[in-house]
Amino acid sequence: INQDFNEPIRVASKFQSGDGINKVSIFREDVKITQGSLSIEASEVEVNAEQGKGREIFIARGNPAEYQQTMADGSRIRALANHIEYQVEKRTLTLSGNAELHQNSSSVSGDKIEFNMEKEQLVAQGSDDGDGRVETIFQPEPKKKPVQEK
Amino acid sequence: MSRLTLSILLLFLLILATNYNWWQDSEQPQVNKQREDVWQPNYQARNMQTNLFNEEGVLTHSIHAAVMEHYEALGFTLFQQPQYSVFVQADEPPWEITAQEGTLYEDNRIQLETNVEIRSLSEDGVWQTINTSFIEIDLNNKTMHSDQPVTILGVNYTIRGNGFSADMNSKQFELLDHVETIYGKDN
Repeated sequence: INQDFNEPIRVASKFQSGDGINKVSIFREDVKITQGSLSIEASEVEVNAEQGKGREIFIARGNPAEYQQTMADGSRIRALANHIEYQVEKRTLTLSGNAELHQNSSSVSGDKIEFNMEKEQLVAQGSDDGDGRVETIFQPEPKKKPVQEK
Repeated sequence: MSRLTLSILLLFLLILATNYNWWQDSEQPQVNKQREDVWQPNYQARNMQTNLFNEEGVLTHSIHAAVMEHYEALGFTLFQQPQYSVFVQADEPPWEITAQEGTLYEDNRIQLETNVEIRSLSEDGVWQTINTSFIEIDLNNKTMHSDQPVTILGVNYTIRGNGFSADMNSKQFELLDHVETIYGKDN
């Protein structure tokens, strides 16, 4: 997973518009973000590049938008949500709106889920209004030492 | 006015009237000759530099070209290897535009063709360079439009698409047939 973050981020879509002054671009119609093994598919993606190089924030919206990535152990993590925010510098994913995260044999769902992609660990989950349903089916087992490529 | 002069006058008018088409015909060949001239430039300049100012006397754009040919009747000016500087905002360095050929129309539209490159000279400018094979720039409201494949290099990203339109003042831009945008060091 960590090599992914050295890769350039590619965004394909039918339509793109941008505002150079506040450095925000909007991609519409079958938007697909790829970065190494990471992929996010959505109907619309907003990219905020205000903080400059390498600190872009990708906000994907869809019904739902879908995120996938290959974990260190080779398994494929998958997440769905109406709103997926990928912070490039922090390497975190914030899922909100019917969020679901499926990792190995465990899956988590709720209104809001924050996931650290580099450590492959759940950072926070819960709901905005406090009484929303949060469900964890099975805790992911402790992270094995990532296997070294020969 | 004696009767004599009156009758002479009348006679003269009569002749004129009957030969009216004769007088008309002779006009015809002359027009063809004039059409050929239209394709000859009114004036030609080599290695010329033109600076254009707006009403407040502010330099809006300057053109340097290897060859310039002005066609008065056709209402445009042709440039070979034009180097164009467009001054959009006072506090901003100009945009440098180069191409193989440019055509400037009287309504202040310029069309640039073949190896068109637009460079913004400010480092944090939204676009560093734009490459395409054709672009039309409206110098009055500083908008650009192209329907050809285009590559836009920005700070930390590269955009590829077919056709684009952009407003050099508000820095808004749009690609109706976007192919791909790459963020990160690949550009």
